[in-house]
Amino acid sequence: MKLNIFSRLFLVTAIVGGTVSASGAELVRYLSQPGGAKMRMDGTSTIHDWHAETKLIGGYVQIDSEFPADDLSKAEVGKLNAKVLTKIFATSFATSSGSAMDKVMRSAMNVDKHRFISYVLKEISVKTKNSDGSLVLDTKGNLTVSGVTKPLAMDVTLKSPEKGKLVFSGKTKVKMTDFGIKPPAPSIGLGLIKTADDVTLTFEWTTRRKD
Amino acid sequence: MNQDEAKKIMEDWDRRDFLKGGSLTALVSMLGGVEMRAPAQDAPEAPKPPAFKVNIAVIGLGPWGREITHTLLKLPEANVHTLCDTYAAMLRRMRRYAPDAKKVENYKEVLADKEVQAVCIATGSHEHKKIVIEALKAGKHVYCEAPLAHTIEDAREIAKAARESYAQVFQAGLNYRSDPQRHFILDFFWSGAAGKTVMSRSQWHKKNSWRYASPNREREQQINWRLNKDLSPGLVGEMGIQQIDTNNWFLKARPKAVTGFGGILHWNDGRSVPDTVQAMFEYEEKGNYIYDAALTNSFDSDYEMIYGTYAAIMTRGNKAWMFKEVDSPLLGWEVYARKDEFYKETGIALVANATKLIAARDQDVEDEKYTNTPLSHSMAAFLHNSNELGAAIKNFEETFGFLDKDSVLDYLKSLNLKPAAGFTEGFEATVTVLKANEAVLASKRIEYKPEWFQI
Repeated sequence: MKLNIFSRLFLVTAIVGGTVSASGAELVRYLSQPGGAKMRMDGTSTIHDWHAETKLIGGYVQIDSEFPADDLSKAEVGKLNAKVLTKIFATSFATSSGSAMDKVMRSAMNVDKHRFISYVLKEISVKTKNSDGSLVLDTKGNLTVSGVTKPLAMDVTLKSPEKGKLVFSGKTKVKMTDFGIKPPAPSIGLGLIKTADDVTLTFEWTTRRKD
Repeated sequence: MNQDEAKKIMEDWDRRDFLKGGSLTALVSMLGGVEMRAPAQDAPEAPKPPAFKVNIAVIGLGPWGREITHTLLKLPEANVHTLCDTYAAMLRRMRRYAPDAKKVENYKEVLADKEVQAVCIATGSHEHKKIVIEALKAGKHVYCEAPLAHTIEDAREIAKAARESYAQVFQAGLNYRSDPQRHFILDFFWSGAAGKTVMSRSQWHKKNSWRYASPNREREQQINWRLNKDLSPGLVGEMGIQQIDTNNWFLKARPKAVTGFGGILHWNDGRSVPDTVQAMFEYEEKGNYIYDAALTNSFDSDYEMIYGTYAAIMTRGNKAWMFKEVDSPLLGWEVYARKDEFYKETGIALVANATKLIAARDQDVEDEKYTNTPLSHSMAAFLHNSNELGAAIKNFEETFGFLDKDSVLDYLKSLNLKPAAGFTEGFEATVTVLKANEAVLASKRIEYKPEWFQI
């Protein structure tokens, strides 16, 4: 098959990891990097505060090739053409109280049936530009936990610490019951331990351009 | 149990009863995570199915290998998949206890079986190295009995192989390291409750020949390797390693020298390994540690003592006591603690799992055989850690599509693993006792060199 210059360019771009969005604009893919991720849940109970943390955030970001990813100060406020999919193994969280609490949490989240927590982005725009060069993004997406999907809107900070690297961070509050999870009340501690429904999710996620 | 029921239980027990079996530390531990039991009159809960199962094999079915097997058979998380021994009679012997387990004579079959996830190696110490290294290469999680080997060189090779196999569990058979009772006492001891350590001692006494009967000379030499000084680490290596390692662990110290004595005083049957031994370990500013072991007298069995300026602490099996000096500070909880009389001494019971005593109204609860022993806790830790590590590696690989060693090691630090001895502890303890055995055989003093402990 003979290719013209544009087809060849398209093919080369596709091979090195770019894709084309529905609007026709090219998207550049950034992949999740080991060692650069953290997702933490903070909660409380009748006995003490607790947290659970994982360092495994899988997935990717696809962002408009026109977006100045290597120099965020040049970004413009407004809608952004991007896709995000993240996936976290529910069993990868380690709790602050040890293996007994890990077991309680996994049971509450029904991890045998629902292995992942996942997030899919629906809409994203640049909200503000910070003086340190980072951006605040307004995001709307769907968060799925324990098989239940709920919309999630939150501000996300974007930094580009080095060429080809994008680091996303953010914080939001959710309720366990929103996702069909009954706040655990384990039988340890004379039955006096009751977990609160509110959980704060904090994350930091490093992605690297797939060159 | 709801909050009203819990409140009623608390009111039913007065403060003396509640704390009698333990300390405030135990109370805090209980609220943090030790399983509480309902009062004795309630119906017991039906056992829940295990959250996971590990396919495990035992290689070496001598007395200790059989002990390991029986212990695993009691643990719901263990699926005893394969039993292996070069001696077919041992396999037949285990048939009635583990009828569903595969029985093989060649360890290579175990290592080649993809279904086997973890192996316990309980062969003679001199046979560990070859099997451990091959098992790690085969991707198995490995539990290796202590001492790791009968020579420092072999132990070092095992430790090196374990260090490289970061995606697998390597657990050394120092079972007290997984024992909740010893962890409980450790915190207590490290808090300074016993004062400054001035000396320590342990003993292991059991009158028996250590010789096993066999149908022929070849088998006799194979099963009685412990009586051959060229293959055996002797009493101080084979039995003493558990207690000597525990002493080092508690003191957070490595001995600077060891002096040994020993002889064949009773079992004159052609063996070359002493049947009665003493070893004295010297520490920097922690006094000396005296260890003795005997196959010639059973009096007082085995126990460990640490003597401090405020109190002495004795551990015996899964029990422990504190014997206070008259001039030592009063610890508030001791007023409510259970006390046992020992000849002229009164021992304050140090109990990790006080809830069992409360539920049984202060009577000693007899555990079912093979359960609640240090070995049982060690095996539970091995199973848990094998499952957790295996799942973590799989999660990492599925998340990123590859394994990056530094990132994996960083991630593995966050896992909630159960306490257990790894290759570092196993190697350290092995070097300590092999040199002690050398001192015993030569009746001499040996100063420990730092380079011996390098992996």
